[in-house]
Amino acid sequence: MKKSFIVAAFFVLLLYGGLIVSVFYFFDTGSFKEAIASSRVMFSVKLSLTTATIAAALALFFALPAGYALSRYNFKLKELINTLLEFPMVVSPAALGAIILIFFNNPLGEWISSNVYGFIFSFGGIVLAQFVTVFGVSVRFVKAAFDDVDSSFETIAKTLGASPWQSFCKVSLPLAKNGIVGAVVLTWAKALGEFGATLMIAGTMAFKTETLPIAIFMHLQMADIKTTVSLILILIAFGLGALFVARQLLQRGLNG
Amino acid sequence: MVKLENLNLKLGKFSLQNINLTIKEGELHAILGPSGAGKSSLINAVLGISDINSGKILIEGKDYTKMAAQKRGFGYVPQNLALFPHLSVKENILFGLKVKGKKPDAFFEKLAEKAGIKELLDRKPQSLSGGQKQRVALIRALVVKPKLLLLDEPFSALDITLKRQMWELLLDLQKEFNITALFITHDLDEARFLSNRASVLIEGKIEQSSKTKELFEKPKNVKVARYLGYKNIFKGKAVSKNSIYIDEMQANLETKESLDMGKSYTVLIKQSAIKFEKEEKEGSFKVEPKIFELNSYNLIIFKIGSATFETAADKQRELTKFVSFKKDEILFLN
Repeated sequence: MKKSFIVAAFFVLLLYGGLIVSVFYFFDTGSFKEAIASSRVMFSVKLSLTTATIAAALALFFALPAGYALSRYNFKLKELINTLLEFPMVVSPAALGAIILIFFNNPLGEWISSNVYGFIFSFGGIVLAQFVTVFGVSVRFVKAAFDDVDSSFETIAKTLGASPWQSFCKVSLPLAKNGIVGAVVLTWAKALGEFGATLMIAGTMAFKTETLPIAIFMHLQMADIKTTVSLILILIAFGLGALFVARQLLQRGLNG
Repeated sequence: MVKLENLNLKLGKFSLQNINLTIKEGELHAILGPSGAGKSSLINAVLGISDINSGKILIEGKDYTKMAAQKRGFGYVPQNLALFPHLSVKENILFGLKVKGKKPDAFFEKLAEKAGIKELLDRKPQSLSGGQKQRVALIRALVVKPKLLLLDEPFSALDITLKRQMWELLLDLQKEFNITALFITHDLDEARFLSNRASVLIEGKIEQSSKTKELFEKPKNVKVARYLGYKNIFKGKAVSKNSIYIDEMQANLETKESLDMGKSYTVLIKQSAIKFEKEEKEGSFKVEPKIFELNSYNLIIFKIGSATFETAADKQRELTKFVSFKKDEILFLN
């Protein structure tokens, strides 16, 4: 049994590793250097990193209290909220983007666009698309992190005189730290790779709304395989790099 | 003095019903009971973690019933100890003082020394042995000078040697600092060793609450007697003022207690009532005792009629084939 199960684990390496390696078939050092030096590509990199960081930070800001509430308290509509967390995964990102687009075409959305902020075809639109896509999963990860913390720690903190806020900050949060760091990184990585909803809301405007995934799509559309491969490798480097750093941090946290 | 007055708590199908308890200052009160009896629910209600439906929690006349858990000033040692894994032993112990903005005082030093944990202060709880963890959890609960200390089977995971060390430590601390405590246990030896008074909680109701010695020696009803491990409980009907006919024995037993003729009673024939006679005499019964050798004593089982009796005897005790019963050691149960 052990061998066959390990073979299944190696299938992960075969599938994803194989796909990554296959990209190198079209890799060209000259094109890669050119891509890195290109102001358009650099704009996409900066835009992707900035918007993903803002979207992940916003998602975490709301996910921390929401995830804690879903983990610890009983309240009305809790089950419905729990189900809705998977809503962005159930509908495709493209459909999610279309839903947001439809929202901004109803009276309330139009009023927001005119009086608060115009999200369509803008930087804010990219952040909104990424935020809406990752928020549910972010809450799910944070909830799981708090679920792993035994509530008896909070009970003890309370009996020792800690207010609910002190108990949250001094006990629940530090104990859920590893899970929350994992949630942040995965949320950020998912935001970085967001494509469908961004395409719908922000469009594909170079030097304005062209994130890395959008840039990959646009270059592929133009049959510019070598730049596409360069962009894919940059995206993989940032995504996997972030996951690697997170793993190291978590490991250090566990050993410390 | 801690008083629980008519405490009622409903949790789904389970409920705590009319819990009345008085714990005097400096008293260790044990709550005994089988699993699912509601012991932990009672502790949670007193701690303020579960909202009670009715009743009062009073300390020195002050009403704590609606007070938030963090304002009650009670100490708590749960079964899993719940030592904060991200904090050192010292930070764990001083947590209660820190959240109130207080600094470590001489009391902390004294407690740490008394519990023998001074050398452990910089370590993380994960690196401690089971006994060391127990000490840290106990000192953490005591360092805030609680009005009431609540312990939820804190020593259940320890082996008997460590358990006894913890019992002695708790008693030492209790005497020195006049601690008032309510503790849950299903270890009868622990309750007998530690507590001044004890209560038996069964199915959400306190069946008996009395001095510990009295509770163990004079259970009031069948539920308590069975929970305390008593065997030899039979039903019978009074046939005279001092005699009862036990159906299963198909024989009369002489009693010390004055009985109402014709009334049905439940009797508990304690092990100490069973006397093996060298020869047949008036009121004795002929029996065929079966002996089962256990680790530290012999278990003796014999029958009179269809009534099966169990008793323990030390290994040197000589057994005979005639048994009589001491009137003084026959109890009548409700």
